[in-house]
Amino acid sequence: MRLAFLLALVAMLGFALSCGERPAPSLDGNLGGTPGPTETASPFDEAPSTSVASPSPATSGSAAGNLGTKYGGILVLANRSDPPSGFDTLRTSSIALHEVAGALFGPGNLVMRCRENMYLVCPYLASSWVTNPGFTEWTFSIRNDAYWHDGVAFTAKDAKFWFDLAYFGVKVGDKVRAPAYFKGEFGDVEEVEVLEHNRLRITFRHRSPYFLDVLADPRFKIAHPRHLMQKRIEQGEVSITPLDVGLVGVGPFKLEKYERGSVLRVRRSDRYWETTGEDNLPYLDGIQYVVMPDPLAMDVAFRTGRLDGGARGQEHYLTSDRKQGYVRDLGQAVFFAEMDGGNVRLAFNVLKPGPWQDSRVRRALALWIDKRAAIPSALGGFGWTSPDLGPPNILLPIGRAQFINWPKFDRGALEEKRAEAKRLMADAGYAGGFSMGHLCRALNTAPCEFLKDQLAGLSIDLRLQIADEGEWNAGRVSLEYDSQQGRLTPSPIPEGTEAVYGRYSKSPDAYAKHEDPKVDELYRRLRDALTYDQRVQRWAEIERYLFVEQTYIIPIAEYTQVAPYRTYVKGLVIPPEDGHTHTDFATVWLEK
Amino acid sequence: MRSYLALRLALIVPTVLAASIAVFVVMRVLPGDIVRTIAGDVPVSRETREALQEELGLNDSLPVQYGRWLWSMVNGEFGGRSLENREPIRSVIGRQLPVTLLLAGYAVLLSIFVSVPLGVLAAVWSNRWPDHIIRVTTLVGLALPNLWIALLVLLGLLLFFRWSPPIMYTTPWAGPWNHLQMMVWPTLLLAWEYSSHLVRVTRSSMLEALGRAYITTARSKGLPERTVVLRHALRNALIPTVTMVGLQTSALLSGTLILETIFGLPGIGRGLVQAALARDYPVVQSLASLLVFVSLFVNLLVDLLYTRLDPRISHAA
Amino acid sequence: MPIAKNSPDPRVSCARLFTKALSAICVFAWTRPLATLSIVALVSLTAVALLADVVATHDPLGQNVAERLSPPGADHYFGTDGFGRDIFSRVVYGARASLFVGFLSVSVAAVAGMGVGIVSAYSGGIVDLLVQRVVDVLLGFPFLVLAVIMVVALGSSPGSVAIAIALALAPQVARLSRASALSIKEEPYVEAARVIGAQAVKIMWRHVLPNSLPPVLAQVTGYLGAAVVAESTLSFLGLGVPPPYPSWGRMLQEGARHYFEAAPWATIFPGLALSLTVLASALLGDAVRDLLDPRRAQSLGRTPKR
Repeated sequence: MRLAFLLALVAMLGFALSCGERPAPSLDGNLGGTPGPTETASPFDEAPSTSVASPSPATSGSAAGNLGTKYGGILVLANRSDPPSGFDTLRTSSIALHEVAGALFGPGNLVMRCRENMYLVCPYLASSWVTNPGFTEWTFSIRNDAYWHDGVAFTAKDAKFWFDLAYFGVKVGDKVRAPAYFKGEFGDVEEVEVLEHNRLRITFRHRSPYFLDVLADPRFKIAHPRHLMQKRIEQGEVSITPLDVGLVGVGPFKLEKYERGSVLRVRRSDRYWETTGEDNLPYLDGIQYVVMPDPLAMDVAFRTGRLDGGARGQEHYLTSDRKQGYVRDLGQAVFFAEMDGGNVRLAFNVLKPGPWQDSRVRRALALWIDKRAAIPSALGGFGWTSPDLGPPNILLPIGRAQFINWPKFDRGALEEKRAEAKRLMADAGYAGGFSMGHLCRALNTAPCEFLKDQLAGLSIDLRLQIADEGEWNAGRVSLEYDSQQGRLTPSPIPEGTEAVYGRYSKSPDAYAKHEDPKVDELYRRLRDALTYDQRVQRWAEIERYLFVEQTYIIPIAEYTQVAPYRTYVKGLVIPPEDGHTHTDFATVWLEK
Repeated sequence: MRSYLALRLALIVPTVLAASIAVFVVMRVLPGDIVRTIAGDVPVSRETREALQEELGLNDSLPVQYGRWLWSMVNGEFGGRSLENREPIRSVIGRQLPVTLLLAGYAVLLSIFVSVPLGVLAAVWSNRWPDHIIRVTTLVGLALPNLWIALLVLLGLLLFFRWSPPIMYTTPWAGPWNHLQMMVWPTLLLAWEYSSHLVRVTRSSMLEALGRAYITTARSKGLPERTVVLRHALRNALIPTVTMVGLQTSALLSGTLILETIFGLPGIGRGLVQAALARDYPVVQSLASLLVFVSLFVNLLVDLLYTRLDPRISHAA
Repeated sequence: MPIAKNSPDPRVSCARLFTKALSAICVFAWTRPLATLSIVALVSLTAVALLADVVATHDPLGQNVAERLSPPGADHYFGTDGFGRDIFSRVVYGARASLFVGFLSVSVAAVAGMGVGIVSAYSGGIVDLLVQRVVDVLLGFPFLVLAVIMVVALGSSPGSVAIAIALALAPQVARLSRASALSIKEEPYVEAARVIGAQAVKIMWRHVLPNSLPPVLAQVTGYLGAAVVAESTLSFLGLGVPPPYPSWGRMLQEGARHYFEAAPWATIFPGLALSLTVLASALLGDAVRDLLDPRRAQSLGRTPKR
């Protein structure tokens, strides 16, 4: 993910330098043409204070000439399960929710990831913003033409309501509503206030130059209408959910019918404000999300033409073997969206006594593992690893040498690395191997089985401790496990990665368990970096410390998440990474 | 007889209560945590976790939690709300139970329709080719694991016929053709296994009945063979069959689980296991108790049917 | 032949016994071909499971990505799976897990069920009523729910899976043995024993148990197949014997879901092994039932001895 951030920075540099003439990034074949917004949203500049025109999502060059023919049609998609937690985006980041939440609640909150380049931040409910020189105050101007699905206008008061709910939670009498799970990412917020002219100001207790990037996470969606929820909360219904109030949102589609366990239907919201400059979005008449928990059933349904798009989610993303079946049955009638997904990592609990407390042992494991072998087996055939490059979805003019991610370490032939590994193990006194526990998620045991086989080469017996969802969520934050998988929700900026690596400070629940204050200090230095070069350098330091010197975590490979769509589905925005992004389908039309 | 009935009926309630307590205790004892499951993939801070636990009422003492659940079962709430997605359990049951009951119902009806004639046939022509064919078919039906066959059927339909069952469930009156297409294969698969049991039992009990003295008597009286078989032997041979129907109900209900998952039917089997895996305590408690109740009820009906078929059995406890 | 006063010539006796045994087996195989087949199948499966180390050609956990999804051949009799692991060896080792679970759960269910059923039937009265209610409660649970709850509570190991399945099967055995014990209770010899003053336990052990055994045994042998299928169902849900140790159920799930078209052998062979086990056990159950119930044997068309 770090490399993704570098790509973003370089992209911005490229944009700034090319003075208005922007290259057309070739994402998938369905989204070409020129990108829209002009702001650069670099954290090193002041945010633009001028109001920017609505983002204009690119339309395919081969679009039909008439405005009229793009409109209409119902898109039928598979979804992994019923959206959990009453559609409460403050409670869960589950893809089963966000696949649906995009249509109902929009691709972002006040800001969003730009459709043309997800590493940039674009306006959404806020039309513009300013910050003070110290980056402690961010003031957003809320747009005047945004409406909830029931006709009520969206104002700064609604934004404040949502922020309060997310950051502070609610306490009514002795009933407590917990703040959002992502509250920690905002940092230390002092106050959220509504100003005149429909503006919202958020005040921090510390410098927050990257707040926009943090805020533009596709998971942070506003699903909580103040005019429907506030009164009920004050009356004691603190755990009210968006489902309780009828799934009223601000997104391009509104709820039509929800048959639980079966299908969720949404249809076009006529009040939606986004346009392409010519067309009012969305094009589609509606979307149907069919609940299909079994991937095989989804494969079968798609290949017989009952679905227009596949479901997202760990088990549902295609493996190379399953993809062959799709190609065989549909040939040119199907295309595959490829997004960079989570990682396979081996994370150690250094606080538990054992041979892995010795950094030489951890380093030996890092050198020994044949990462390439993970791709066909543990990753289902789609993914990338050191020293190969990133998702095929990105095509930006930068050289390989500039990647600062862990591909830069551990280059060399596998035999040499393995010889070194054996030497390190012998040095540490474990030439005969040892036994190590490994917490494994029942939903996906392939990486665990892969690791077990790999480590057997060093005479290490990796005892797999399989846990189902409830147990896994509890287990991975405890200190009882010797090692675990260390997956991460993708984040384009390193500040989002502390939760993985930084148990010491912000997240006692991090995957790698250690009490190393140096990691904390390194992140602090990163946050204090004032120039781009400094930032890159400090990021490289973090990686070198984490992966080479201490090896608290061994990154092995990254998934490429592959979702199938029929080729008559046009205008799909496929993010280079993070399948939670751009699930609003506002720009999609059907060419049947 | 009447007192026995009354006793049995009265005993259903404490039995169900006992079952629900057992489930409650076991579920609470399990490792893992609904709070974590709700949060999904993200780590939760301690304060978030604690607040969530408070909110869900998980901090109250166990008896209080159980009492709360029990009260809601009685007053029609059926256990309150699902912890995972906040749905009232009343509506969970309302939408899932009919699907499973329909599927189970179709399978049972089809099985009975098919098994009794086949069983009789196999018995009457025992050890000749019809019997052999029937026996082999039933053996195959019992031997092949449901889940494997379901997968093979699904894949076979795809590969050879380019067809798959519909993906959105409709009730029979809202979309009969759609409903039929969704239900036909799960019903057939379920019925195949179920009727294999029934055929075997019917066959062996028919054989036994046909060997009895009263049959010889009937034959010697000059009655046509058909009357002998159907009127006299079958009546008594049906008892074990009826027992089997009752015994297999519970198995049937759980047998629908795999089929519901594979064929995408939003029924109670699939819902129950998913709730158990997600530690959704109220849903599991309510659904399990409901199923225990249904099963006990069916068994009681079976026992009653017993006495109608064989007046010698008196149930004097 | 000299008249044997002391011990007969051992070689002759042995020869005689041997011939007798052989001919008995031959008769058995001739008259009950299916039963013989099933016994042979089960015995060889068990042997394979026990001798897995010898029979298997490769390490069941050994991954070799270069050879993934290769078709059956001289090198890999059943081909390889998505990790490049040899399927034949995995099926062989999987037999271990499945049969272990199967035998253990059935034995536990049989012993526990019979114990409960007989004691309950013999005691009668309140004890019987209460015990039967407990049995009813357990019978009321859909099998899979019970299994899911138990496996999750006890952890996902072969032992706990076996206990979970046993818990689901035991009530049925209890019911069955109670029914037959009830009728045996009224038999004159039991009555006689009671009159003499024999202890209840002794009566149950010496009289009731052996006589209620046959129908129970007949039913229970059929349960082996059900137990093995149950284990594979649990594996399909992700609750069976944990990976990476081979389990037929999980092999089925992986094979069907991920690479059915690319490598159908990954699904077919474990399924065949499973079906074979279940079939053999069902046939054996049939045979045992025939054997133990002479009336049935009669009505099956064998010439009754007049």
